[in-house]
Amino acid sequence: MRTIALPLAAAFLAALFIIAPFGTEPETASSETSPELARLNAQLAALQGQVHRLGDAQRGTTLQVRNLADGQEPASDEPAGLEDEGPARGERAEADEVAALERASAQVELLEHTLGQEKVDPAWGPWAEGELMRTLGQLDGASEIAAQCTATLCRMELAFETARAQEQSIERLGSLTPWDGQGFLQMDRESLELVLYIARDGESLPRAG
Amino acid sequence: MKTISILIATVVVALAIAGASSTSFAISVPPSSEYTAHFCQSHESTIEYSWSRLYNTSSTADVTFHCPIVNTYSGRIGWLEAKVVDRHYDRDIRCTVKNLLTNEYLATGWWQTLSSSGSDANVQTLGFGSIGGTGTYHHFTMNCTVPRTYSGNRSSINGYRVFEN
Repeated sequence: MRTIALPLAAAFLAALFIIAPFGTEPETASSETSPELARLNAQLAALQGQVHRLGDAQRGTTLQVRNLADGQEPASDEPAGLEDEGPARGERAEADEVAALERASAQVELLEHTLGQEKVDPAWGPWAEGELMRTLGQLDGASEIAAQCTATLCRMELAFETARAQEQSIERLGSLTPWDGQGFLQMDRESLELVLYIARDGESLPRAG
Repeated sequence: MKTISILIATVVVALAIAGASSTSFAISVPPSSEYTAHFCQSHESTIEYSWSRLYNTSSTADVTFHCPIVNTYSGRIGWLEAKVVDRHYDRDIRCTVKNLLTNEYLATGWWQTLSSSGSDANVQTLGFGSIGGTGTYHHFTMNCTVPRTYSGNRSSINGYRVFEN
């Protein structure tokens, strides 16, 4: 028995050490693929930025050469192309903001859809509405207050008398919300309305995208 | 029987070594920013900075601290943790992290609130998950309300850390 067991053990261990590296390789590769891809993407983005800036610089130089050929003075003492950097950066920031606003709009749409689909939990909904009115309803300068809670989500609507009161309310949101958890807000600075979407304690808000 | 036991023990040790060697290659740490509590500010005068911690020294009033988070544009907040010490018997430290997109017409975005529990001289970690998206116009902030002293014991914010992904 002993003579059989020992060679078997040796063979098993040998096989284990041979197989183990191959067995772990895919896991290592997959866990490192994401950071590697992210790094490559970041490099690509940086290169794209450089190409963009070089394009701006080339356009600026071409313009200056043309102006000189026409006998005109250069537009400024700045190095060629730098004057185009500001507007280019501004356009990127603007596109960034538009994309973020679209994401926010999709998020509100999803939350409204969820509220419309969910049934009211009679054991929680009325209590939660009362708590929200008792706490957030007491925000300075708030009027026309309404709260609606379903099974996992509440929606609270407030209108403010002044822009300052509306802004101050955002600062006090966290300390006044009756339970811990996630929320999403949409504040209209022209109508002075504020809509809050608040997840039930222990629940997560649904996310668009 | 003894041989079989030794064999099993050897296999278990070998498996443990193989497992440990494979996981050591699999760990990747995301970029993170470490903030001491010195970054936080308050409108109240009953606060004290000490050893990178920020205390509420008032025996009668809770104090709210406003703590900045830099938007580096390099990624989104994948994880945020606040280190706090709650010494009040029945009041908690309550922190809210906000990620807001604002312009002259609107403000929109996410927030999340977490509270400490109990009363303990040890550090508690409030772990927030992913807080919305990121972009040029996003503003990240953290507000923490720290309770008044209890039997002379002061509660504090010790620092916070932001992991990007």
